[in-house]
Amino acid sequence: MATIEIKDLGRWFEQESRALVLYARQWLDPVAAEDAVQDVFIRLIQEDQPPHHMKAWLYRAVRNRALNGLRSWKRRSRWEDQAATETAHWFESHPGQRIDARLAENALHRLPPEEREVVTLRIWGGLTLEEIAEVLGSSVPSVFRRYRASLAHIQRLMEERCPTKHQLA
Amino acid sequence: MPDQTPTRLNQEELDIERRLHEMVPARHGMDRDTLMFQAGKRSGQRRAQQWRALSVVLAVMTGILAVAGFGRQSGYSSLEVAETPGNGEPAVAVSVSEPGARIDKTTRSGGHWHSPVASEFLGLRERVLSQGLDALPTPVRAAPSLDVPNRVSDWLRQSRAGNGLNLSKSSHDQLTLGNPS
Repeated sequence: MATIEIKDLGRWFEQESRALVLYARQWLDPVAAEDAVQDVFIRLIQEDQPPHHMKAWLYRAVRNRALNGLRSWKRRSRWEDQAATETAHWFESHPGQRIDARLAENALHRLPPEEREVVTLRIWGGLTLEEIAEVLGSSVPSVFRRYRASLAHIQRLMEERCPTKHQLA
Repeated sequence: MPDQTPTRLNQEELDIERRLHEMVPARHGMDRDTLMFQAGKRSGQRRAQQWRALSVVLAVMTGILAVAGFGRQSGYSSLEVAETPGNGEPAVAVSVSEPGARIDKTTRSGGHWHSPVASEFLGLRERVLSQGLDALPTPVRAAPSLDVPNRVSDWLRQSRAGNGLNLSKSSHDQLTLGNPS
């Protein structure tokens, strides 16, 4: 039986856990998102065969787990309260960043869910368009169209919050 | 930065992509060591379950083989029953080769199956145990066959006639077996 080794599991955890939690937080609160990611890694060690496309498998598993968790939270009518009281930020702030983390986070929040998902998978997950299409069960051209649209949307949202020199003048 | 940047993105899109990529997702509260411990524990449980399942299967197979072996031992014995010779017929060995074959020349006594000779012996034994030695049948002395020459008597007669051997009646009786002719 060829299961994934513990050391490989640790390596994947170090590489992908942050982006996976960020991906899961589109649907879940911070604690639930971490629980979902942890469950996925524990499930990974129980797989008989290591997934062929590990990265795509991880994001797809987190997505399924998060959506299942979201359904149960909706049943308990807790989702709205959790989202309203959510205070943990999505990104770390660094002085050298050319973009304000809070501003980008706000822009991402305001994106339509399907566009936000593509941007998260592409930019912070580092998935290829083919892998994103596999995760979402969509086609590559469709994913690419959505990605371009989301980038344009983010730029527009950020310009609204940060007026350019022309607008200031 | 994603390794496969779409070539159809314009410069403006590439720039916003680069700026977004500079942002690092926030730290999470998960502990790597805790996760590794839980993963190892779950993996160990899974392997233990596999070994447990294998042991159960082997135990069941051993039980089945044991039952099958016991059945073969009791059912496929190479039991041979020698019939008592009667009416001048030679003894015939009846070989029981199949487990379901019936043994006709047997009788049941005390919950056990015995051959006729054994049944007679066991009956006699029971009678002796209950009634004592009187239950034993009177031994029947076999009468000497007339057509069998009494070689001792002939020898004595020849000795008496030839050598003048004088034997008393008592010694004659002692030496003579059966009725002198």
